[in-house]
Amino acid sequence: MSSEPISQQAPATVARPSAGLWANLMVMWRVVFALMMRDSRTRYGGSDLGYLWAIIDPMVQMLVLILVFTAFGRRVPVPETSLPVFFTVGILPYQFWKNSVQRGASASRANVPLLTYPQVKVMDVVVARVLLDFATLIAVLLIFVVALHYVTGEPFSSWDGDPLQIVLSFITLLYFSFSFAVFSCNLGRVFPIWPEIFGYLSRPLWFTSGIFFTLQGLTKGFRQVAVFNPVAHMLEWIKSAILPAFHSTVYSPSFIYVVATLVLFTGLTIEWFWRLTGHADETD
Amino acid sequence: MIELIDVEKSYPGRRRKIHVLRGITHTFRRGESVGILGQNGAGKSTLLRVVCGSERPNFGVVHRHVSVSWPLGFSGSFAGSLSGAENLRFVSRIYGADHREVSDFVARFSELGKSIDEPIKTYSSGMRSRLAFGLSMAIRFQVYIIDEALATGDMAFQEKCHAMFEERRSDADIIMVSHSISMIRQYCSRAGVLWGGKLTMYDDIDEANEHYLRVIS
Repeated sequence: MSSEPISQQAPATVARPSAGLWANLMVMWRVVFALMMRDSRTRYGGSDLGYLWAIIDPMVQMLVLILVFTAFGRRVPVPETSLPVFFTVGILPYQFWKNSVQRGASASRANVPLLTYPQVKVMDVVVARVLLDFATLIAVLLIFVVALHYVTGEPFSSWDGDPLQIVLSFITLLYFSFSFAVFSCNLGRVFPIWPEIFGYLSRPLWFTSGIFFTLQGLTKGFRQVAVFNPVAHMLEWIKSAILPAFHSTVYSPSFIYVVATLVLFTGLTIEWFWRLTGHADETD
Repeated sequence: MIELIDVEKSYPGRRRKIHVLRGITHTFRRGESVGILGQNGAGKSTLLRVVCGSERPNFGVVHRHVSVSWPLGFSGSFAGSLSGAENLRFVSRIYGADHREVSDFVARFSELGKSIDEPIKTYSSGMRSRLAFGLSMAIRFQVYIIDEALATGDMAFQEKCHAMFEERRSDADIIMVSHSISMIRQYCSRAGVLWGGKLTMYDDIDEANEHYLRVIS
């Protein structure tokens, strides 16, 4: 032990009460960042190898779809586009949306103890999880683009549709998924069985969201059903943005925004109502 | 100071609502340390969690004009797969503290040495709680929240905690809950009794103790 009193060795960081919108935003960002870093280390049980799963899972899905399409002699619904490219732009954004809903559903359950730190709120946990998944989505997408270039000789130009639309559609995807995550988080607090229910719901959704078709290419009868699925609109937009030879006219950004905003406000209303009726910030 | 205005908190029970705090109005002033007496289940911990901001009240408001700690020695947030240092880093980040400084200090104060880089799941429960107390001391708050225990571990470590705390108290206040009057006498200048969801404050600790002994008997 050194001879100086232990108290003088203490770090000098002084916690100050935060006041004002800006200061509170800074605190929120610090918390979200800390949660992201923590989540990224604990997500797969602390193993870095776990991140391979984020690549393997969509890769397996893609291989299965390619196998099925080839076996049945189906062609790509979009001209001048290869199967791997077409499936990548469907599978990855869908996966991100689905993960957001699932992680939202378990957000309050999984991180309950962290809420004891006064500045950590349930909403921060949801924001951090969705942002981390979004970063993973971008990284995995880039890995796919590069990997396909070297494995199947896919030219990079297969992906450069309309840069502005790509940015817009991905920002929209982020908002869209975040809204659903907030909704899912609050639904999960009211109905603890929600994560399991969503497990079943996500199966029919996988078939109707346009992972292996385009809204444009559907026959009129099928399309009339599928256009009610907002996820299908989202995927249609992303495909239109990324694929140079595809310009869909049947998706509606305003439909996506209306649904996302309604879902977000429903989620926030449940939160408000839930707290008012005397439920804790956490339910153990 | 921390102002509680008409704070109500209830939890849903299986059949009916359980009212824990029924309209508490009190101002904790800067410069005075307060002890709150109450039986098990009187809502002491709930009151602390509302005061520090871990939970929001159902009705009423809490204004904080000072920085308030989390309940001292809280270790429930530690992730077992992360090392001690990594767990410290999370808290350093949310408070904007330098994590190297924090982890050096805690490693020394909590006598964890190199174990600080081992996963928490390999820790003994004593090591865990030493880590938690070290962390509580690594960030300077204006008000410290204490739920029953100020220190943990063996005598030597407890003494170190007390010494550290004694020094910290020169510019920090305490809000503590306890069912023992002796701890409150040692650290607090005022005391109150939490009973039936209501808080009654006394300037004199003996008076509070008399009230407390009366209601529990």
